[in-house]
Amino acid sequence: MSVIETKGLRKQYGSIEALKGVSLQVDRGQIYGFLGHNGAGKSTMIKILLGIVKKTDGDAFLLGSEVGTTEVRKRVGYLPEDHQFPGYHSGESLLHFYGELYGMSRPDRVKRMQEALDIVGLTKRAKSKIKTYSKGMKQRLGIAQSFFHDPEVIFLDEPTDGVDPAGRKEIRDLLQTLKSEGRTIFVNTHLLAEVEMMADRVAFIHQGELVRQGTVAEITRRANRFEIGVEKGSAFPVQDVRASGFKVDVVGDMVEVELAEGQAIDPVLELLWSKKVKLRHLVEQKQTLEDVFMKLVEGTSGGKKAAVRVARPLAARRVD
Amino acid sequence: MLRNFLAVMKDSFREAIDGFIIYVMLGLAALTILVAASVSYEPDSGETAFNSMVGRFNQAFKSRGTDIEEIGTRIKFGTLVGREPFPLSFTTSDVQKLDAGTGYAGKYKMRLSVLAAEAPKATRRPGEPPRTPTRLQDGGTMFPTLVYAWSQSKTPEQFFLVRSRSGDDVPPDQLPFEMVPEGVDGEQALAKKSGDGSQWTLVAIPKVSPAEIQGLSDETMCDFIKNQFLLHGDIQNVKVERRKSSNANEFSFDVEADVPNGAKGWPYTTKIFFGGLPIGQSQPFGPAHHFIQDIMVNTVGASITLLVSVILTGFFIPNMLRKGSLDLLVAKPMARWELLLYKYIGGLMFMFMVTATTVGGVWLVMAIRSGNWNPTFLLSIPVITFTFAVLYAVSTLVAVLTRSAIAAILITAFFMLLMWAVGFSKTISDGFRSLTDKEEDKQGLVYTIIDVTNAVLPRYNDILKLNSVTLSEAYFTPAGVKVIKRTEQPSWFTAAGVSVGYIIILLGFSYLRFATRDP
Repeated sequence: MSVIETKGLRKQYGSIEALKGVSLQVDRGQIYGFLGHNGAGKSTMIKILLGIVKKTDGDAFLLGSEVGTTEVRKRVGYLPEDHQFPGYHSGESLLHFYGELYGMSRPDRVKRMQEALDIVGLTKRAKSKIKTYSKGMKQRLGIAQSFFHDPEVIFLDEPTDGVDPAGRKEIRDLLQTLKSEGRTIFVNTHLLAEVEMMADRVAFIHQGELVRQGTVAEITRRANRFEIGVEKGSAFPVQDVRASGFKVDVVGDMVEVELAEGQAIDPVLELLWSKKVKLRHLVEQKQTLEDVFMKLVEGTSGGKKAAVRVARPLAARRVD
Repeated sequence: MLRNFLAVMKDSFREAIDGFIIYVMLGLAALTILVAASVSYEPDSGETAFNSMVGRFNQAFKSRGTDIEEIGTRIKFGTLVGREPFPLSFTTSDVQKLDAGTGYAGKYKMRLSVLAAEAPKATRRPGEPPRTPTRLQDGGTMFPTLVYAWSQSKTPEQFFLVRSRSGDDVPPDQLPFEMVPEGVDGEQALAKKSGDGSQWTLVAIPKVSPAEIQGLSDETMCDFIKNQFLLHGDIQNVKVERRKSSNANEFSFDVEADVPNGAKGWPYTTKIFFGGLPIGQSQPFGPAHHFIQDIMVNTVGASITLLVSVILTGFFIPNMLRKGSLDLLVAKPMARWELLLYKYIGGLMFMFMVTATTVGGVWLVMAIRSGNWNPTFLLSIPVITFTFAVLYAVSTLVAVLTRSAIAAILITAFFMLLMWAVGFSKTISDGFRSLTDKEEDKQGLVYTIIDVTNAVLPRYNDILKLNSVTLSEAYFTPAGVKVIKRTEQPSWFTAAGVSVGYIIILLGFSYLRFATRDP
């Protein structure tokens, strides 16, 4: 059963169409990566699902109910992007405050808070004012507050922002733990490598449109390109394979064979067999999410690759 | 819902105590409490006290003391009219305390004499020239005239024109005067007399015929004295008997008064800074209490507290509405109206906390020091908090519209100044209108603008004024309360109603904006 479902979701901010009919489904117990450039519509999507902003059109359901209801929000955790916790709270008092809003009893709050702060490594600073925290500590506190009340679904908007590599690894491990407990995690990010390491399913959004979704394996699989290695002392029959109509590239000790549309790898394997060349390595090649994303972006932007790539740094461009 | 409310209250409390301003305010509160604690009250001796008390007996009220209108000489200078207490002097002698009770309370015996005075003794400032020479009437008939006017609800007036002093050295009792003939309008006579450039004052005194004076019984005079003890001394049990005299124009009485503990008219010597500095002359307990509580705390203290609170709480809602902060809150299982309303109440709680500390503290130390445990002053806690509620509703709306703390603070402070200015103008204009008896002088564009502006704005000043009157009623003698109530008083219902209406409208608009705008 889907815990998150949207159908033709649209959001208009004045003349800007932030979401253009987005439809997606997220099943229980998944880590779902929602990927896109800054300004692609990722945060708007989460905010609609949490009832923070109102949809212009379409349907959105969370945990089987219309989004935005108080009851549903009780079962959800959220870490917004660029969050600002009140500096007058300590980590502990903030969690008490939020826990009270979630209707948690004091003993429950104390117990869960200790666990959560321990998980994110903030136990020693729990009583310090948040205004004394580093950015990474605030981010970890943000993650703690998103799950300490035992939610079924957790929305994380750029959760690894400002966190060092070791901290990122800890966050990835934490998300895996939360997933193993049966929670659904919806992660917004533009750091594709992060998602590739932890997400079960991903969706790409570009300029308000969902351009691709699927499992990470499905999306990163590079169809029709195989990496082949043969036994030491044997030579790969490059010319023979090319003569059979395959494109062959030699990359170090390996050979990459690309299949044309409708071709299968079997004739290459039969040729090796017939030449008594012993096969030691055969892998269908993968591509990174970033590769896929850039291709998709270029495709949907009508080949205006440069325009997409430089979209963010424009503000810092010198005007000479 | 209650859990959410308490959670937001605790959060607001944390926010309030995070900065240093709250500690400055609590420090100021502590200082105010200390000053109030340093005030000492020493009741005067019987002789001094009764002389001081009866010194105000020339201030009498019509309809046997039940009316709010004072009996006195009515004067008119220019377009303004005023009233002076009757030119009589009441004195006591042979004051004896009949029992040995604790403190000043107990039974007293004394002789009370009435003399015609050149000018009211206790009601004129030192050096101020009298405007009502005794010579206008035979001194011997002054007292019966006053008692007769006291016993009536309305008395006709006799007009005199008295030459105004113009800095020359003519003694007051030698200022030329003339009686306005019966049937001639006083004002027309004044206009005619002033036509040559000289300055004259129109004086009206109650017109009582010799027959009416003759018909006045000793019993009525004694009732008058008893009533004056009640009005000026807050002393109920009084026996009065006129002393026999061969001179019909000599008025002297034997008086026995049972003074209760806490009699509002009993004068005290009040000193501040633990006896270091006397506060003015010996006076009844009420005005001293009223000065500290109403002027120091309710007016000066409250204005400072309100302004500082506007600044401090002006950050509460803009901070909540900051990007990254609001998302965290609105994603929680709480309706937006709850969030906004509770945050608003959180600001009020801050004000309540500071006010309760100051007012409660001042009340407690003054009660301990004076022995007067009248709780009326505690009404100032909700009143000042309510006044702030109006200001904070303005701050909330501006904050929701602009998300700027600076805008919220500046606009709210301006609104506070505007309400104060309008209220002050209304008080002044009402005062001027009470000094004129011509309807056309009570109208005009400026008066209309002030009235309309005051009517449509929240009643900031009215509420504080009503609180002041309520305090006066608690501490002042009945006569003192009548004087305060002589000017037109706003009603609690209207003042609070208009202000509550404002709060609802301002918060309603705030909510609409908050609920419909995407963060």
